[in-house]
Amino acid sequence: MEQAKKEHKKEKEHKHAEAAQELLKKKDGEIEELKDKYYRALADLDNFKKRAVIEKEDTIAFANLTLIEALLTVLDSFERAFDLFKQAGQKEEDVMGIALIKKQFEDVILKAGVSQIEAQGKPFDPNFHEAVMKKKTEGASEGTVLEVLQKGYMMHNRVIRPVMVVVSE
Amino acid sequence: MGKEKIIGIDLGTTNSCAAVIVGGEPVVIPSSEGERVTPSVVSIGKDGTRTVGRVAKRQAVSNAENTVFSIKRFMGRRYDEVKEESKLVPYKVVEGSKGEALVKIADKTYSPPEISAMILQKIKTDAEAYLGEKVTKAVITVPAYFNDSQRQATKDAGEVAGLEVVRIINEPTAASLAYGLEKKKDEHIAVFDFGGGTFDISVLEVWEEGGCKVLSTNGDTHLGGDDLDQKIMTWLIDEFKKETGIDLKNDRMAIQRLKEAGEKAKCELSTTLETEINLPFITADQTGPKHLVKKLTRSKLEQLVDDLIERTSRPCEMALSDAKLSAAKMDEVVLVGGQTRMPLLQEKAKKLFGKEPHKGVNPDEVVALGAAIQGGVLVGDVKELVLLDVTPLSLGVETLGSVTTVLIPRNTTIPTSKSEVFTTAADGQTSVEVHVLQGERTMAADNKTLGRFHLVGMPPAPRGIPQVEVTFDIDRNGIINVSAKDKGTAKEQKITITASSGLSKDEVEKMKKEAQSHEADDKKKREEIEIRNQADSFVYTAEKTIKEAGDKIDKAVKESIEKRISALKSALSGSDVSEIKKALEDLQKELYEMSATLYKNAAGKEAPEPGSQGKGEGDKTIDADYEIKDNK
Repeated sequence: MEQAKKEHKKEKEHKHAEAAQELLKKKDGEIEELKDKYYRALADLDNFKKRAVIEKEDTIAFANLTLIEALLTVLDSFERAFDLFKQAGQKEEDVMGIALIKKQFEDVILKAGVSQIEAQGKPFDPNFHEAVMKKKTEGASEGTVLEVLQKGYMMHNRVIRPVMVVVSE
Repeated sequence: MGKEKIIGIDLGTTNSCAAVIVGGEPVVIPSSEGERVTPSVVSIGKDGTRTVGRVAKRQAVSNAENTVFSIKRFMGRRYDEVKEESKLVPYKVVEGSKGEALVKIADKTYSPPEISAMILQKIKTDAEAYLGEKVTKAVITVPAYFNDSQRQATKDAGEVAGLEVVRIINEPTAASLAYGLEKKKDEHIAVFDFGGGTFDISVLEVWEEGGCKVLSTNGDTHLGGDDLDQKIMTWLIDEFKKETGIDLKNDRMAIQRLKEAGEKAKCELSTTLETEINLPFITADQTGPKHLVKKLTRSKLEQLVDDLIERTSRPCEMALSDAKLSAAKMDEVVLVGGQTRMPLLQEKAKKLFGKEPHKGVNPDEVVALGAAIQGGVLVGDVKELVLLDVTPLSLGVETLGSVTTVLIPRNTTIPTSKSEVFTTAADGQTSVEVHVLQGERTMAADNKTLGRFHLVGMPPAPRGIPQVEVTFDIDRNGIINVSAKDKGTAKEQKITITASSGLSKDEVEKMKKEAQSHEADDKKKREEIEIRNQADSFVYTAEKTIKEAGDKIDKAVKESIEKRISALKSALSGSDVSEIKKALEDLQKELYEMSATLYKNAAGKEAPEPGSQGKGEGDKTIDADYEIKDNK
């Protein structure tokens, strides 16, 4: 009788030990999972911070971009005016005042980091130019900028408006 | 490293957009050009170089036969299915050996999936640059009416681009996901998609969380925002002809300017009632330069495009009847596509379905955002953040002058922890009372008391010297632990406040509204109390300085300063804040002059510290203005 009781007790203890081991394994698994989530969250935050720094610098450098883009259309009107003045044979000294205002305008945006993109006669490059017309021309090799219809501009190192051009066929 | 992000891609006819879950929320991935959408345009140069996106679009005119746009119209189609479509594009569409539609550019044939793959490749590269990690998995959206062949073609495109397309989901479903509508139960959703070139209407059914089914679709494959732009341009040309006799139709440059100005005006009229189109020096003739200046009102615009908007009615009616539902049965209306920003179109959608449409999410990006959410769900990202909560109201303590000093501002994501060091308000204070408050008001009495406790047994010291660190800690269940520790003796006292001892949801709303209406008043009160505290502190400092300086100060100067101190004291007992301010300034001026003299005279000898600008001594305590009241 004593022997059976002892064995039964041992069996019970054994079962308890097994159950405890199972539970430990389960808890270990949970800990690993939580650790993983924790590190992942930290890494996400870190990456977010890094991106935030870059975006902030970008925002500051291009803070005036919307305003400048709107001002470029005003400058376009000036350019157009002078094209037509030239066509009509207008004397330079008569429009000197307006020419100076135009120059004033150009100086202001120059100081803001905006520069003109040279395109006339250059090989067509869609990274800087936008073709709105094709023209067959004698003497010009294919894929050259024949005419600049609207000026293009860069701000710092980015193209903010491509040059609107006519390309030779 | 393990769990890789799955990006969501809206591969559109005119434009494509990509998004990904960052910090539990979908964000749009900008292209390498810094734009939030990428034109779905591919071009192959004579030398074989490929360009994709914005740059490809720029050379579309000069290289028309080798620039492919709207390739989506040919995905998974047989050649005889798209004979009409192929007539509308400048690039060559040819028949493949199995009867499929192929495009021929620069002497080579490509399948539509190969072309789409080039677009997807750019998106993949841009996403990797943005995220700083490899991207190999994506969820891509397709129109709900795409058949098996078209869906397979989209999957193939992904594979060629090096992306494992873990799922293809319908565009209207993605849009619903972006608005969180998949959480609804037994509802019907109408998705009204008016984009640049196509109009699609879909009727969806959501029967349980995540169970979303397309009941019917309809639309017009050649109706979009571009058509509205065309109407405006035609009107401008006609009006100009009427007024000047000049026909701008053949002036390439003028057309370009009209197109841009027209589109800009259309967008502006979504938020204003009237706009002016101003194009100086548009052209010239013998009589001189000509200018185009035209006012366009919202009602005129609506007149011009009325027939286009009307074209959305029939497809919607058919979609409803195919789904065997009436407009009244629709529970939600979702808007997709940039053109849906137009008030007239929003009204149209509302009229057709009898419900106010959802429009909070950017309609150009909503499909991509929804695809990103689906990607996040598949990876397990989205479930995580749903667990994060915020404190609805600010938490703080009562400080000198019976004001509330906030430690954790409202809408702070929890769990979180914040500490600040406070000090005593009176000499010899041996205990501090920590009165924990919840609310937005300035005066402690106007906020809700969450709890109160004392920290006792502090050694007596002059006011402003002791350092008591108060820490607020909120765990993820919203339980607040507040502790106060005397840094000198390391004695600590704390209390725990459970979430339920705060305010109910309604009370929170009420509190917020009250705070708003009392904002100006509260601000004034706070400023007054700050001045009082400053003055009070300065009286103490001035008296101390005089005492310590002893006979190093000239008698006449000492008397004058003492007079100023009395004046300030009596001003403090009154209620005129401007009087207090003036008395404080007078005292400050004289005391600083005296201190300067002291320093000059006592060269080398140790001089007493001149009173700091009323903020109390010691630079270790923050804002000694806000001092904990002694319990009386």
